[in-house]
Amino acid sequence: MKYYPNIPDLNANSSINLLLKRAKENRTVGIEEYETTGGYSALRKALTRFKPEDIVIMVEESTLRGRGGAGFPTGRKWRFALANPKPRYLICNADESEPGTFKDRIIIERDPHLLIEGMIISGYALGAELGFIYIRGEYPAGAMILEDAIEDARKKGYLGKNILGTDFSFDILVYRGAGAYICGEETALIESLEGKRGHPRLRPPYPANEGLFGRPTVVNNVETLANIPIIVTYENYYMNIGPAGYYGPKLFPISGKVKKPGVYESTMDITLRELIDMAGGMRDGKKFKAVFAGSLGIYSEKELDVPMDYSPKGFGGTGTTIVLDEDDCIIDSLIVVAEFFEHESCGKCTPCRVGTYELLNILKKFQEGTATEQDIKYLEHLCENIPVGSICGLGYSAPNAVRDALKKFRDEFYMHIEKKCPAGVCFKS
Amino acid sequence: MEKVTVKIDGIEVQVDKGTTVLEAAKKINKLIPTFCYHEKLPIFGGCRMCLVYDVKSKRSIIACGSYVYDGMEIETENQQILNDRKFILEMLFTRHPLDCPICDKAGECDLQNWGTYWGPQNNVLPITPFEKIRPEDDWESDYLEYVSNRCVLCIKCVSVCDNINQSHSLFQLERGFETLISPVTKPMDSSSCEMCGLCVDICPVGAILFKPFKYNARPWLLNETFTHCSLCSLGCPVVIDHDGKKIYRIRSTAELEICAKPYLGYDAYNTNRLKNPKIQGKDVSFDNALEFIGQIISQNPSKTALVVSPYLSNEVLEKINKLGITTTSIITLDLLPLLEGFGDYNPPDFEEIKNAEHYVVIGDDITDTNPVITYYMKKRVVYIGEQLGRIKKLYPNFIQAEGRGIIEKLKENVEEGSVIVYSSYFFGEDAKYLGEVLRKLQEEKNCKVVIVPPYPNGFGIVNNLKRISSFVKTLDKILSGEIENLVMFGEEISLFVEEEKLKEIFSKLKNKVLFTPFDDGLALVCDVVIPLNTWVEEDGNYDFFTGQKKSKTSIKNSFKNTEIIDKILKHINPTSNLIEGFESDCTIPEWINRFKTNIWDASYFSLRSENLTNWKIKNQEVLNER
Amino acid sequence: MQYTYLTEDIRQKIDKYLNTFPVKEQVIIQALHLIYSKYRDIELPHMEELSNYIQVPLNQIEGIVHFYDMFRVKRNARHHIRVCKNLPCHIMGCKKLLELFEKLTNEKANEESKHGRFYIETVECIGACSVAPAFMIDDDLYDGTKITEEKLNEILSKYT
Repeated sequence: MKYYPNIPDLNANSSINLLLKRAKENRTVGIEEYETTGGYSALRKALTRFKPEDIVIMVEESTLRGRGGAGFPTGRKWRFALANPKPRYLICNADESEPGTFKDRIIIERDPHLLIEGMIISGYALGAELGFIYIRGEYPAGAMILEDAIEDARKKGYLGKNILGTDFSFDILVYRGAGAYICGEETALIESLEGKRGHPRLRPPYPANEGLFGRPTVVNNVETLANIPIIVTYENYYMNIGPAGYYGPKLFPISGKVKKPGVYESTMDITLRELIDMAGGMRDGKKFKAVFAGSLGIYSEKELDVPMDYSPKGFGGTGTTIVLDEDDCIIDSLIVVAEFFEHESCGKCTPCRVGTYELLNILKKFQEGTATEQDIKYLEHLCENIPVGSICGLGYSAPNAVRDALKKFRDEFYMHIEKKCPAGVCFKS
Repeated sequence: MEKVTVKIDGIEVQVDKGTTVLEAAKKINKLIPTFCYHEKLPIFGGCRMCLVYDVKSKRSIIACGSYVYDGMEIETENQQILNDRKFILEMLFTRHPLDCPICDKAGECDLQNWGTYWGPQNNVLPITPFEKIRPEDDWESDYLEYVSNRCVLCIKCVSVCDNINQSHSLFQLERGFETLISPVTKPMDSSSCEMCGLCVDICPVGAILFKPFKYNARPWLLNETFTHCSLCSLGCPVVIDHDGKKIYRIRSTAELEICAKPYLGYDAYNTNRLKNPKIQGKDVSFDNALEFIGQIISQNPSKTALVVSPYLSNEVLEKINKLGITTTSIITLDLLPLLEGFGDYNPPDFEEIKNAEHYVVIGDDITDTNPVITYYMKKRVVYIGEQLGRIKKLYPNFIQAEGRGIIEKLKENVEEGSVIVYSSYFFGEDAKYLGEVLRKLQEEKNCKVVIVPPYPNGFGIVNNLKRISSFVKTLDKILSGEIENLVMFGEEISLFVEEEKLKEIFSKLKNKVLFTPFDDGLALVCDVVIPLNTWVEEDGNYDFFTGQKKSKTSIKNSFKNTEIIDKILKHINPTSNLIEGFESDCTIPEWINRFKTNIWDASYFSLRSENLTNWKIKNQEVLNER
Repeated sequence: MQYTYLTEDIRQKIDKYLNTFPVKEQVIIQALHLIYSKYRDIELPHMEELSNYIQVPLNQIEGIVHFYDMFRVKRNARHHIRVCKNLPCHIMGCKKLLELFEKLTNEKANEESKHGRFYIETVECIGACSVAPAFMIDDDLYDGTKITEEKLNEILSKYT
């Protein structure tokens, strides 16, 4: 057994055993075990029974959406790239850095071959010959596990020239990031992958037209790609998994004040309330206060019945759920989120660079007790304007949490102006 | 080219497909404010100042980075856009120190200008701009200074250094709000920086300053003269900022073509200038001095020789023909034999050179002799020379060779269609041989031959003078007593002749006459010295590599170089019994110095620049180290 | 050129990257990881050697080093402790964990190491939110949910 850095046991559970079929225990599934449990049969099936076009149609019909947060239909993304000539590139976005998100690492560290198989099939469908896995720098073990798994797959002939005796050739290279949330944005990821500072590019051109090295490129999240072997295996049966229009398994990373935080696999027909129950409910009998969907928004108690799908009113995104209870202060949490954005803003565009910085400064005034009602207006002013001129998703989503909080927890702002913190977090001294 | 029609603020305009909205708007003279855009740089699109409203997609897009499509409708000044602009400016102003009165950029600052037109005229966020937030980054330079809190992070400085100058001397320190611009190594004066000053010129605010200019002038009170730099054979367009008496700075135009020679070296024109003619150290009037010279020449025209400088304009050179005396120039040592070997030389089109795939640089480092040409060398480069110097910024394939070995290596390494760039190195016979080889390569391998001497008007001498005598032979004639009077017209021959030999030559001369802009050097040992105008003080055409171009007067002197010759002509009876034709030097004696051009000391102008000399002291050691 | 910091071993690995990646600029970040794991700090001489070895302008490498969190900090320590301070870990008490670390190692968080053994850094989400407050020591990730002074001491003793 090779030495890998220490990984603690991250709780993972599933009632449907698709993505997490082999990944519920804290160990890495080797290639032999993967094969004996049905692994690489989807690849065999894809290469022998289907044309690339068949797989694209299958993915389109599956209604699979990008699991990285934006929820863009994967099939459509592929179509855009397929409209452009070869060479095309496939990139797996394993730069999972959204606060509270740790679902991709479960797949990478425990069932790497599922991702690799998904990439090979996707590469086949896209007519790509080279794929990259951009894995975040903070997952050193994941990078090593992937490197070894890829080497094993090469030895077995699943990667390399003439895969399984067909004329399809494909290889995967692992590329480590080095700690920059912005590199999860697909164009910034491509810049970083080209060996530059991770500044997002202007769009258009979109990566599907001009991506890596100016070639058509598809960037898919780990979970998205892990869905591909399942789609190929189940074909039309895939449409029996989950609600209409939002088929397929989804991973939900839950953290915070629940009894059993961890990654839960489920269909998308559950609600936020059910998900929290799945994680054992609130810990220590405390009262629920709010859910931070990563850094993308806040859900209050009134919205606990939101469906966890990609519908306009759904939870969407990465499925990240950070549960706060009555002991947590919204302002204090917003400052943490604002610090995160201020720290991670790449600095390319003015509204995001300065906006996130000033947002943080004004929020801090609420904690310090120096804020006035005017500051609420400034916050609203910033929230309204920062997204307009921003280049990428970071700028678009940076004010989301504050905007939601102003809507749903406005009284907490007023209380802080009066130097009162309902949770007793601020003004302790 | 496919055309598309776009409507900008209701005005229809037809442009090529692939044009950006900003360029299309320029065509109808619509001003769209920008910070990070420059037409010669890759599109960055970060400042978001140029937001315009796309009516069809109902959203704000950036004008600099969005391409037009047929039927596009753009509004540049609707309420939404005005709000957007105001917000962007508000963001930039939140921590911008409002120190305009002591900021050198005031008056030519984009932030100031756009703020006036579109900005919030009050402090919207409750933050005082005087709170300095970002740490200062000391560039440790005598010339360039960075004021972090003024920086709007348009990154044009880094871009210009990477994409134009290519010396890659700046980078972005940290990221996000804390980003600073920093030199690649410190102190900056000893880094790979070439002191071209483009980062200063391109900075839209007062974040990067040129220290020698700092606190010295208010830009709006200065006159600007658009001219062509006449310090090497490229003749780049530059702007001289002056008050009619003194030059305050020389900066680049939007072409972004400038190097350290004018940028740092402008101070040479302000100090140690010769104001009055002198005979034996005593001030005399122009008339008296020129009459005296006229007498020398007319008394013994055959015993008088003239050395002309390739820094003189065509107008002056043409008049020199009329003097009818033996005329020589240092170009007989290098450029003339080269052209003799080459035959009829027609410089290739500069655009073709810019777009070439493969360059072979031979001889002296082109980054020292003619830096600006390297700004355009963006593809494969082979450098054949003695030592890899600054040109290493282009990551050339370096082939070490000396003397004629360079020419042999050139033959081996040239490819079909290569651009061969040569400035200086070979003298005499070797230069002639190089000329022959270059001609052959041009004909047989379809190479483009770029001959860019380190001095501006070498081609002007060839094109305007009817006769040129050998430089070496002329000096030999002095030694043998055949020539008694030497008139040096704008030439510092001490750079080319060994000191001991020069002393010997001078001891044989009856009359040493020097026309010079400077009150030092040879002016101290010559019998008669007459002031001369440089390219900044007198209009003149020069035959640059890129064609004939004009340098315009920025500082007016009471005399003109051309009038000086006219006045001498009044006192002599030209006897043009000299044979027309060029005589180049083939054998070069040991006492001829090969004046090696460096970016710091490219000419007798540069040698007199304190800025350049100081920079040289700081920079030289480090270049040797690395 | 003589390479002092890019050891034979590192150079071999860089060569391997140069052979596998389509573009040499792609090697920069991977090579910096090699330097980082050997020296823990990336300083100018390292970058100069790398710039020379893979023939990429130094400013590009410096720009990258200063952009990415893992490279830009000067640590001056053999071991690098990363304590997550993002929201899940924040509400699960990362501040207490941090205080514990500061006490046990006698170092201040985010300050250059005094003793040369540990450098403590507070970082954004390290993707282990179910074991919050999570922390990493070098490449190892640990569960901080039931951490005690005793347990932490035991873990730290593994890093000399």
